[in-house]
Amino acid sequence: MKTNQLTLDIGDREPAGLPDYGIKPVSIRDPLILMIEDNEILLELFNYKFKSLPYDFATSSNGWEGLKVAKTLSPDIILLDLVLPGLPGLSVLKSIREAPFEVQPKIIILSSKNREKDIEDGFELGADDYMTKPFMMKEVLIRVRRLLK
Amino acid sequence: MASQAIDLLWIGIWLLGCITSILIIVAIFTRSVKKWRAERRESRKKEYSTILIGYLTGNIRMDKIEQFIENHPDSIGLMFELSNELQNNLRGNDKQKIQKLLSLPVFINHYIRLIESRSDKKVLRGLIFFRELEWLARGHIQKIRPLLNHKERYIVHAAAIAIMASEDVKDRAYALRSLCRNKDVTRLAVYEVLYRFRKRDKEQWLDEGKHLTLLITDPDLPISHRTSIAIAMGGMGYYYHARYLLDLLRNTPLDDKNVPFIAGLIESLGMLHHPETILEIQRLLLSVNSVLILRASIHALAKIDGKEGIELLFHFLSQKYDLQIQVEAAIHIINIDILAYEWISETFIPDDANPEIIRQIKAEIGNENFLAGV
Repeated sequence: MKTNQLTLDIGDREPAGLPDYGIKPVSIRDPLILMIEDNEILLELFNYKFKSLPYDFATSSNGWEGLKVAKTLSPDIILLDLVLPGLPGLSVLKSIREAPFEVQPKIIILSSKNREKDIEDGFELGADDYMTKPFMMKEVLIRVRRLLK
Repeated sequence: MASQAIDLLWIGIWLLGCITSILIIVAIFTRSVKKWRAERRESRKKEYSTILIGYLTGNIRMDKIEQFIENHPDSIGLMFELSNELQNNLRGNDKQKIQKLLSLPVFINHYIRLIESRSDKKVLRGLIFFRELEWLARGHIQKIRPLLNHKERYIVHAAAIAIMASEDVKDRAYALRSLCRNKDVTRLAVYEVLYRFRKRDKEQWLDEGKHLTLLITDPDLPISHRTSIAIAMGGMGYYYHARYLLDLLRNTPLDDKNVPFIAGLIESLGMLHHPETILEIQRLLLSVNSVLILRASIHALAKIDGKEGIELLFHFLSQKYDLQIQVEAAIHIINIDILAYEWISETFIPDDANPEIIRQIKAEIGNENFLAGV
């Protein structure tokens, strides 16, 4: 799991606090975006984009790890791929929606799965938005901004 | 004797030791080389990813990235993989920028060299690069064209796909014809090329359709591929050529070898929603009992979705047809737009329809008024 310029190893432990992870407490930080995606170059592209904007950005390339990071960092927005190693994206989504967050994160699914059924399942499980790959980078940024309002 | 045996034993042990040592050294060396290669690949990947993203976000100029690729010719394959992976996830301007990058001479020349090699594997690797381009210059097409006559059908297939990036419809039609002349090429391969045959530029559609109609009637092509082209014309929406397909349907003799072709034409016309297809199906029903044609007719009637078409769909509920045909017709009737039900307030159900299927249709529709006349 990576955040801006730092790598986290959460392992199997239930993470306890935030300061060690270099992300500021919820009350004073910039909006935090977590991207759960297994495509390295996409993660790098988003990392680069979001770093140039007033956002904090964290990444995870595995479903299980992504879920843990989400529970630990309470991101404002999660960009979630559906085809992930470990736990599939829809299960990550379901677990997040069932977890006791103080404020539930907004979730944008960003996936190459584009069948009607996939989109329906995504929204039914609580996604706030659904985008299919290939996507336009600008559109993702616009949708993130809209959800943060 | 005893001392000779001991000497031999020592020599044996010594030899075994030498061989083991050599094996260990070779294993260590191979492992180190593999590790070194993997590390070098990883570091090159990181370097290139950073440059590629810098280029995409407008912080690195194209000439810089070109210079980087030129300086690392052994990693061109890796750089293509990364660029391609990214372009497959993007659309709009970002994708166009990567397309520009892949069209750089440094990439093109490398892959042209590969397709000119004698090794089939290298040729295929070269062609895989060209299939990712959205535009191909005439010079490149001329280099790829001879591969359409290659003895290996998978190379002909890859070459045909690569040529689909040409702006000239004649190039694309020639490549499609070359592929279809090969009887061993699968239908799936033909569909894959057909999918890429159509350009986004609507002005080309008329010409594209003309070339496809020529292929449909080309006697040098196997009927299975001609059928695939006919079906694809419907699927891709070549509406201007529906009349031609209809005439072809009328004029194709109804013999055994033409049955799949006729079924393909009906399916295609259904996808083009051509209303006159209904009359042709009516005509065929008088003399045809081929499951292939009956099924194609059901699919077409459901797509055309007009009053006459729906009326005719009910005809397939007759028990003179196979149960499979009755069920397919029932499923399509159930799926017809609700507005169509008004047209069929009077019954069109054949006298000998299967009562169980009729009950299922009524239950699925859930409307007691529907088929009130039954």
